[in-house]
Parts: sequence; C-alpha cells; structure tokens
Amino acid sequence: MSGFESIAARLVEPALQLLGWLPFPGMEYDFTRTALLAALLVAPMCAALSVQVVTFRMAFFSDAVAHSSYTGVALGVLAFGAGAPLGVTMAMALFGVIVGLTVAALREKTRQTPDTLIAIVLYAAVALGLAMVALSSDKGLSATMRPYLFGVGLEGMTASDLLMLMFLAVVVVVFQVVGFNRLLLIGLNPVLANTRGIRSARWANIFAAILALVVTGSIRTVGVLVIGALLIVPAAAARNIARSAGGMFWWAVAIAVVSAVVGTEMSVVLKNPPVGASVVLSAIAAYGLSEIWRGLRRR
Amino acid sequence: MVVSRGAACTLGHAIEIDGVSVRLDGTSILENVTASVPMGKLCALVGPNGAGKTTLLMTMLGLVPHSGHIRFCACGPHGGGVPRIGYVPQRLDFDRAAPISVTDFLCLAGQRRPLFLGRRRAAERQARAALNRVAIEHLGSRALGQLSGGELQRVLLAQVLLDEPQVILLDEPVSGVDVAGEQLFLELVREITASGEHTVLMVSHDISVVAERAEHVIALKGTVVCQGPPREALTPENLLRLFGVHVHHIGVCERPAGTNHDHGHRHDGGRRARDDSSAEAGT
Repeated sequence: MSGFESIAARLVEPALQLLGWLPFPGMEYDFTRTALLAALLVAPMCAALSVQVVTFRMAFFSDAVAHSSYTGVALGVLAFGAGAPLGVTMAMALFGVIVGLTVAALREKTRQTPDTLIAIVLYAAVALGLAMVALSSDKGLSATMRPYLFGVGLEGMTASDLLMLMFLAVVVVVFQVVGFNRLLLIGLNPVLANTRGIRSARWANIFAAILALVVTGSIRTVGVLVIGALLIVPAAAARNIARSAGGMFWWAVAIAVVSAVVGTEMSVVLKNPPVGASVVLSAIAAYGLSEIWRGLRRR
Repeated sequence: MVVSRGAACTLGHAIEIDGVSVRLDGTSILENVTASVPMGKLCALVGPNGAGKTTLLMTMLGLVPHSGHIRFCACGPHGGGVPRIGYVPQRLDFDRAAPISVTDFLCLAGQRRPLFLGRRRAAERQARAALNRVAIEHLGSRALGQLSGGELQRVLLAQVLLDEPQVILLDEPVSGVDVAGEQLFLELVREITASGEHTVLMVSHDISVVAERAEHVIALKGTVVCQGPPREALTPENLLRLFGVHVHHIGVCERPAGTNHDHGHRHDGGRRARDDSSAEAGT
C-alpha cells in the first residue's frame, strides 16, 4: 500500500465505521462499506447536478462527457500505465473537462443546433479512443479499460477513490449553494439573468466543467456506460413529485440516497452484479414509481 | 462599453442613443442609430422583422459589441452612472413541466440563499408586493408552466418591478398573448409608466398598439426612420418607408384632432397592421 493510500485509508476510516452501524447485510465487511460509501457520495452528487441537467435540457451533453471519458482513460493508461489509477483519473478528468468546454465554446461560435454539435464532439472523442486502443502495442489495454466501462464492482474501490469523491462532494455542495439560483435563472432566460448581473456564459462554462469533473470522478464507481443515468433520472423522478424548485432538489437527492443503499445491497445480496448498474436500476425503479404517483395525483 | 461619460444629456431624456452601429458576422444590423427616449414615458420601438429592434435592446443591455454611445441620463449628471435596467424577454424558454412556482421565480432574483435552503421571508414579501402591483397575487403558488401567455408576461413584469428599475425594456411583450391579455398587460404598463418613476421602452411590431398606447415612438429599419409622438411620426409616408407597403387604417394620422380617446376599442376596423401580415394589409 502506497503512502498516499494509507493516509487516505486513515482519513475515510471514521465514515466507514459509521456505516458499520447500519443494520444491512454485508456491513460487517470493509469492502461493502467502501462500496456503499462510494455509492452514497456519487449518487447524491450526481442527483444535485441532475436538477440543472434536466432544467437545461443537457441530458445528451452529460452523456457525451461521460462516454468520451472512455478516451480519457485510454489516454491515461497509455501515458501513465494501468498501475497508476491516480494518473488515469487525472487524464480522464482533464479530457472530460476539455470535451465539455469544447462543446460550450463551439455552441457560441457555430450555427449548428446543440445536439448536432454535441454528437460531433462526442463521436470524435469516442472514435479517437477506439482507434488508440486498437493501435496500441499494449495488448492488455482493452482489458485494463473494462472496469471503467462497467465500474470496478463491489471489491475494487480504494480509500483514495473515496477521498477524491469526498473532495468532489464538497466542490458540488459549494457550487450548488453559490450557483443554484443563478443557474436556474439562466435556465429560464440567459439574457434576463444577464440583466440581473449574472454572467450567463461564464456560469454555463463553470457548470460544464464541474459536470465533467463529477462524471469522470464517478466513473470508477458506476462505469462509463450508465453514469449518465444518475445525472438525469433522479431529477426526472423528482420533477414528478416536487411542487417547488427547492423541493425538486431535495427529492432528487433523497431518491439518489435511497437508490445508492438499495443498489449496493442488491449487489451484496445477489453476489456481485456491478454496483453502478444496480444503483441505476434502483433509481429507474424510483422514476417508475414517480410516474405512477403523478398519474394518481392527476386523477 | 454601454455607458459613456463626458457628453451632457439633454434635459428630459432618459436614454440617448448616439450614432450606434452594430455589425454581426460582417452584416450591418444597425447603422448610425441616433434616438432619444423621453424620461418617464412609454416609448415604443417599432419596425418590421429584422429591423434590429431586439439587437438595439440587447445593445442597451450591454450584450452586443457596438460603436457609438448610449447614455442613461437618469443616473449621474452626464449619463455616466450605471442604471438599474429591468428587462422583460419575449418569452421564457423553459421546461413547462418543471416544478418552479411563481414565487420561486421571483425569489430567485430576490435572494442569495439557494432556494433549496428555503425562501427568505423578505424575498417572499417582496414577491407578493410585486405580484400585487400586476394584479395577480393569487398566482403565487402556481407553477410557471401552468400560466397562460398573458399571466406569464405579467409575472415577468412583476420580476422587473422587484428592484424598481429606472428603465424598463420590454421585448415584444404581447406577442403570443390573446387580445384580452394584451389589453390588460398594456394597461398595466401604462399605469406603471404613469407614476413617472420608470421609463419604458417597448418593442412592438403592432402599429395599432403603439398608436393607442405609446407616448413616443421610434421607428427602426436598420436605422431610425422617424421618431416622435405617434400621431406626428407615423405618417403614411413613414409607414410606407418602414414596412414597404401602404398601411392605412390605423387611425392615427387620419384621425381628426380631438378624438384621441381611449375606451378600449380600435379605430382600425378590427384590422391590425402587423409586419408579418403587412403584405396582405397593403393589397
């Protein structure tokens, strides 16, 4: 265990001990507690951002950033080797932020509709990643990439992963406290927001960058294939239930917390389906319930 | 830079637009626009589609690079201050299913505390007062997406009134609103202007609305075609230059002196000269 890893382990220990008190199956093991904590950090963090993703109609954008981080992983592995998860994560985050900001910048400059533009950038990035993996002399590269596609599963999360997620969670909380009202107003009408002293373009860029950071930071937990769901489904469900903007935020976070617990336990009880997939399935079940609830309320 | 310093403002003007030109992508949108908006009055900005009306509004908001000067005379002796400008957009481009209530929307602008940590009492009070001024205090808990076009425009007007702006810019506020809603909205705007504390500049392509309600008009088609009180400025010749077709009927120019009254009906025989239907109007 590296020096950094042992410091990280010491820092996250109290949180893990706290989870040990939960009366759920598997909580006596370190690795299940680690997986649950990771899910409990990732899901609400993504849920908080999902409020803006849904209000801004940025579902496709967040998916594009998520999928292009596949290329970020390939770049990271090629540059630092598979044995350096920190380097890979950094490369992935950097690449995600670049993709996010490229889309944001092109949107200002070209006449294409946003979805066309996003698709072009997304497929440029993904094709680049596929080509790199195919051309690489390292035949093990595609195997190395597998955990990033599906998430590392129940046993692969490390203390340094947790520490990074905690740091990201703090970033997201600060961002939401400062930016929630502003982003909502920008979502309603950017010019109106401008007249109220909000720099719409700057905030849209900051949002894109934070979204990219959170997506790439969450990928080892959830996997490239389904991370997009956590950025859409909680707010989509919350929208069906809440009656105010603040209510929508809290419902999204609450649905994410419940999905994280239910999903992780599903993986524990069913002996190891990927945690990301089961958390996403739980969230989608919550979405289904919210649609039923809305249908009943209308009657 | 929107606000220029140095040159003195003429007494009684709220905004002076001085030789403003705007080019976008190599195309000239506004060419040497010089106009003034009288203080405390309802002024209309009219012209056909593509005349640069919205661009001029955006320029006044400081969102479009331009040459020339725009002076806000209401603040500072030489128009050098930064005015409080309220802006009512043509529409809100939002997700109609979003659970954002009218009070939420007004508090968004009125408080720093993020809405998910609750609305501040003071912001809610302000929101109620603003809704009261536009006569829709009963809509506070309604979702934005459930409002009619006219109600939404009044909410937007309430939002503007929150911080008592010196200048209010309205971008085609009644397009897409039914006739009753339009009358109500314009009546509100007239009342707000009557207090003399707000100068209102309203973009409109509906000449009959302008003729009935506005106290001053600026006609724009890339550059200023004419300006002044509607009865003097909107002559048949100017309307021909503006819309490229003959527009008779608005009852502004032909109306005999002394019959300029306001009792809720139009003097255009029900026909309204809109630029988008002006080809019909001319034939």
